[in-house]
Amino acid sequence: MPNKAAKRFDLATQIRICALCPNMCRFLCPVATVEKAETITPRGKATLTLAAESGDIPFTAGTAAVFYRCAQCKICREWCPSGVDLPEATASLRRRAAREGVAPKAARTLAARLVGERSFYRPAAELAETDRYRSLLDKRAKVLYFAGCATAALHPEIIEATLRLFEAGGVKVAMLRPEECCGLPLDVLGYADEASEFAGGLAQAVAGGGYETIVTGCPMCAQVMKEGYPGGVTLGVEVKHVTEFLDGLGQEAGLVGLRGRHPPTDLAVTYHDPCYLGRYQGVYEAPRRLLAEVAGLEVVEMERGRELAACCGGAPAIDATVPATATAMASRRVAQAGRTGAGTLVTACPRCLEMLRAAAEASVGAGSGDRGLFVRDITEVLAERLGVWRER
Amino acid sequence: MTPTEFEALVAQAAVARRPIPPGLLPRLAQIVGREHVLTGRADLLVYARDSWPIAALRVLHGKSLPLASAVVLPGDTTQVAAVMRALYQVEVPIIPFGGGSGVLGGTLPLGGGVIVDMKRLDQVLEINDRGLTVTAQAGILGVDLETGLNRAGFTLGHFPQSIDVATLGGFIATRSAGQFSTKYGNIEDILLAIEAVLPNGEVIRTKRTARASTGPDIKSLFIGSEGTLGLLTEATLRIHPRPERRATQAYEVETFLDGLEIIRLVMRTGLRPAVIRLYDPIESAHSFRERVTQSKSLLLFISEGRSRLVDLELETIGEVLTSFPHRELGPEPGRHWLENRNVVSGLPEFMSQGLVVDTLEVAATWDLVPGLYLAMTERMAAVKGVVSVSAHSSHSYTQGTNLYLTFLTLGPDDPTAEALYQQVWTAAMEACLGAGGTICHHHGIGLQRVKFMPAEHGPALDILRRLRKALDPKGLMNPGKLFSQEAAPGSDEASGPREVD
Repeated sequence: MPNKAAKRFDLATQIRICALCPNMCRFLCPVATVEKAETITPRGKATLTLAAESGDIPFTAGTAAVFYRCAQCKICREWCPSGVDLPEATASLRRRAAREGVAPKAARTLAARLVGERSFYRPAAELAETDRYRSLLDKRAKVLYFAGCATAALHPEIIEATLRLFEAGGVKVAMLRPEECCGLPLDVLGYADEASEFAGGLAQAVAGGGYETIVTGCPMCAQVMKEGYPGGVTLGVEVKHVTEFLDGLGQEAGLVGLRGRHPPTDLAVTYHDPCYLGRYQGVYEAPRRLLAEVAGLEVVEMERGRELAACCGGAPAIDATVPATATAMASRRVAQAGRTGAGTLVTACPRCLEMLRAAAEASVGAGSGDRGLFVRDITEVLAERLGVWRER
Repeated sequence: MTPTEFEALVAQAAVARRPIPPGLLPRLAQIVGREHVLTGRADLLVYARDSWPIAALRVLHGKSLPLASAVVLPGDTTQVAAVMRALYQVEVPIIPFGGGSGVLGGTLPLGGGVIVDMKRLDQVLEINDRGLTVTAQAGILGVDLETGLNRAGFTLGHFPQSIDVATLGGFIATRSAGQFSTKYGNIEDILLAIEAVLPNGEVIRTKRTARASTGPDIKSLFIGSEGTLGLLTEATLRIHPRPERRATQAYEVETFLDGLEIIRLVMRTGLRPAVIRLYDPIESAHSFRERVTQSKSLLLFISEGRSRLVDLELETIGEVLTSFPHRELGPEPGRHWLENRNVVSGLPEFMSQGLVVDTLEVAATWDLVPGLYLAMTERMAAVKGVVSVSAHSSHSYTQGTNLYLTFLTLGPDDPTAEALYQQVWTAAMEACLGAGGTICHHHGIGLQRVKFMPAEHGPALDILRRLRKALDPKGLMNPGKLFSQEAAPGSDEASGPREVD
């Protein structure tokens, strides 16, 4: 029974409501579900928010650490009949933690590395391999494909699959060189000023290229580019996640013409909704339509999907500060996917892909019965089914 | 400053604060792992309360609550037993903790001590298809147990409003009732066997069987024991194949008392719909809005099971209604209730906006129910500062029903809010006892109802005291809860003779 109520209370009242509530959403909180302690539940965090704001408890590193154990996945907000946006309060306490120098060490280290290397993973300079895709790019294109640093560093094959889909759909795209981190992870870790500084650089690059649309395969990049950065920096162009963009092409005949190119199959897949694509941007149907109508696959739903899909553990703060929790979150999601009986788990986020693939592989090792669950990015599945790309 | 009602309750519980001896925390860490021993101030603050409105108000206003010295989260029965032995040996209070959804202060660490959070024991151990039983660990959330059963084609049939929050151990320890209890029974009807750790660390298991004539029922001692006799670690419960069909039917009836009479006759006929709910005019208007005429009461039935039996059950209920003025409202109000039955957002919303809302539930036999309803609503409404009192009935039996009273008082920002809250409670409990009702149907006792236990049980309460003393001679298990007359552990009084309150 996901909640559709519009927000009715200001944030301070929301936090009081949350602290007074019997914790009715706790069973959905993916972090509390793994960690078990009351402290980590939504009510626990709301209680501490009140205590921290009133000065009832000192805002020490120990207190601050609690607020980093939130995936910012917004499943609590989705469920809450009062529209309490606890992640918003959590975000503001992380900014305070960063400001006051009490953020967890792992968060500080990661933020410093991001600032220094301009990428979540490897130095941005190392990721500037767009030459590899030269033949698929057009410098004068009005559409900018922003791969995102997770894709570039961990799953470069997705870049080629995506570019082949654009090619098949008759869309000319350009890429930035070098392509730096979108800045969202910095904001998520509490470093808002640093995130805005990233935004400034990106806004300049986008303006310089004269692009009209940015398409990205990373829901986190899409989120911050769509919604704007702390400090109010916006990119001033249309931003779409790759699934929205390709779905648009499908509707307008671009990819529909390719339908039927693929051999018939009784292959069933299940789809994991990335938090930033689903709950943040409301994109639930486009990926499902692409899988069913363009790729011709049966999509089997998990017990809790769409608005109630659990986070995969890839949330930067969780993965950085409590990695064991992140891994357990991924395992739970993979187990849910396994129960659908589908042989393939598809997602549309490089972070989710990374977490879920590792969990699926670990579960094979652990003999948990999830054997044979392939975890794939939606662009790979589409490109392969349409015969425009093949995994090497 | 005069002590608040809360402080008076704490004082009355007479639980002296006990420091924890050096060496205990490392010992606990050795047993459960360092990461499962919490001692940070943030942790202790969060664990200082359950969902009792008084505790929530104190959090809201930055007023202090007693803090535990530590929280431990054991991972299995062996660890629970080792933790119990370690704590009991050094005479540190032990407070069991499930989902923290109790509304009576049952988990407040009055004398400090160590909270034992059971939620790491969260596994379904066996679903027995032929025996129609499930065995699960006590820390599993109700919703996870029910979802696991549904996946295998079964249901527990136990749906307390706290199902998404509370644990199986909490269901048993508070003697809970579910929304579908008329068909499936309350927890005492559903529970078949337990595994529990006694205060001395001994692990006991009762036998899983359909029925036994082997002396007094040992597992029953732990139903409603509220953490005072030991720690539940595992339970075996009856399950049912998922029902073939569920159907709902609602009626508008002239008065709440008419509605009660209809329920009495339905139950007397031998019917067992899963749900029977009757709302007074205030709650009918609040929960069902334009579906019901102002000043009328809404009566709701839900039947589930084999399709033909469902039809027959609802048809027979319709026959009972023919003797009373009524209007058929069809299945929609029931669907509306099913969708919204666990939404409790009104309470925190009201409280955050400057009002205090609480509910309390009592029960009586049919001969006493109308008088109980009139006496309680009248006495509660007469307390100065009470804005509204309303009622519904949600759990019915052949012999009687429960009444759920909801009251609304002036704001939490008012310094007298706590005192006013207690005045309403006292008026309600006294009216209930005076009308022959029982002071609690399913929330339990916790701290809030302790002072009414002597009047509820009379001298028989001493049997519970003696039982508790036998199992917990040092008085360390959840001290100050369920019933009073627990002298501070270690004090002179603790071993001497006592009077009944």
